Amino acid sequence: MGLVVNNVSKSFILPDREVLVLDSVSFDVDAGQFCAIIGPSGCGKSTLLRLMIGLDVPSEGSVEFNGKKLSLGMGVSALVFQHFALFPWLTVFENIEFGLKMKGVDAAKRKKIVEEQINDVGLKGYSDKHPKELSGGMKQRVGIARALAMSPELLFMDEPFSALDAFTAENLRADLLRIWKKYKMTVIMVTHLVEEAVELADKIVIFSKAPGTVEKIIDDKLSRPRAKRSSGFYTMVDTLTRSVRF
Amino acid sequence: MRYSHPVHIYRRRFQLPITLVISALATLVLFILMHRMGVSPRLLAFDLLASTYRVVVAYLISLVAAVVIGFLVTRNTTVEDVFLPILDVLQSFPSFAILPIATLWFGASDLTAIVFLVITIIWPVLFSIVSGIKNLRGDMSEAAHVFGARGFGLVWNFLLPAIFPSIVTGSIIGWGEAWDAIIGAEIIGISTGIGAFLAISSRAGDGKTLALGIFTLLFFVFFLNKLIWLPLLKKSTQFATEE
Repeated sequence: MGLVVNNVSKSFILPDREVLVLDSVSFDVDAGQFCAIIGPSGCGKSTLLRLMIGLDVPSEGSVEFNGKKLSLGMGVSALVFQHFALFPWLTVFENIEFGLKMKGVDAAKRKKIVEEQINDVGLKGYSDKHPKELSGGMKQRVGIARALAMSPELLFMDEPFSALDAFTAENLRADLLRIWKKYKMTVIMVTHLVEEAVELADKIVIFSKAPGTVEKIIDDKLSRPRAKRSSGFYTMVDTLTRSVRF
Repeated sequence: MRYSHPVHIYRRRFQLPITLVISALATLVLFILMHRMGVSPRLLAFDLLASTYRVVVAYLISLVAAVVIGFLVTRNTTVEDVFLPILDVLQSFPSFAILPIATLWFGASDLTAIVFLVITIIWPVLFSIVSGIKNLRGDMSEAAHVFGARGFGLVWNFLLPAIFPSIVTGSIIGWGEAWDAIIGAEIIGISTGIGAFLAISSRAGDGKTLALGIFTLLFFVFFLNKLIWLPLLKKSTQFATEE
């Protein structure tokens, strides 16, 4: 059960040649686990995320969730973007509401869910603002709320804190852990920050690049809440840093 | 970036009443002038409305056609590679050359004017929409897909709002060109409309009526810009994607 990535390869066909981006990637994530995918830039981890969620199809192999082929139509996944990807013409409320509206949820129920999310991610009082009136951190809170409003079983995150300053990112990581504890969904997060992976994840999949392959899979068994200044934390960071070939 | 306009009154909350008051005053002045000069306001109004009708109908047709064609030709890179160069060549075709053919087929009628205008207006609107579609942010389309927008829902809730700024920009250019074109056409061949009014006054050597016609036209075009296009432009900056 859970998420199974089975022997996934992906190549892109250019006019003059074929480029192999992912080569025989296999790993699995248990339901309710927090999995971080880490690797140097250009290793295909964002491509893999898009294949997993169903925005693109693998050239070979498959991605399954609870024994069934994972697709967007299943309605179990949501995605948080690196650069937020909010709709500038919609308010905070309407952005969060978007997925529910597309699903055909009625207005009263939408309002209830959205207001709950607004409270949950710390956006109280921002309902009627437009994205361009918000700071980066606030925008990403909207991005997270928009995903959570779908009550996803699988929450995919594509470097969600990379575009934010260090303090904001720190706050959001703490909030994410609190939210994950509350909803117990499976989280798949792509990141290039070793410490972020060690702080958040149960399972860390390390990628190497050109073509992207799984270099190593590490179980992060540090007890939660995690002390970022403990020796165990630093040992884990060192192990990982050695394994990632940047 | 915040919308700003160099003229201060545009930023005020009560700009609409101010515009309406100014417009009413200007209209009053025009009526007094017409009365003194013995020009029939009904004739001038009729001609102005005839031109406006042609421009509005042609603009609406062009807008719908440009949106539809815009989405069709950008469906994928193969279609784009075939059709964009063709559209580019068609665009350079001098639209006034259509006028004699259309007149031959439809007479000196509204239809002729509208066909000619559509061929003039559609290009700026279409190319603005095409570039708008091509500049759509990839992650935003992905977000629309991930959060379940499909088919008509995708068009209505994502694609149209996403290209709204391009539609407004293209429309303002097209609208301006339309007035240029319709007045030209009415001076040359179509015997009604504000262009014809100007041409007839000129031929009659009636400089005062001519000046009155030009002033009325100027005021009218300004009025429409202020009441329709500037608010839309302001609205579209809210829709614009930020980096």
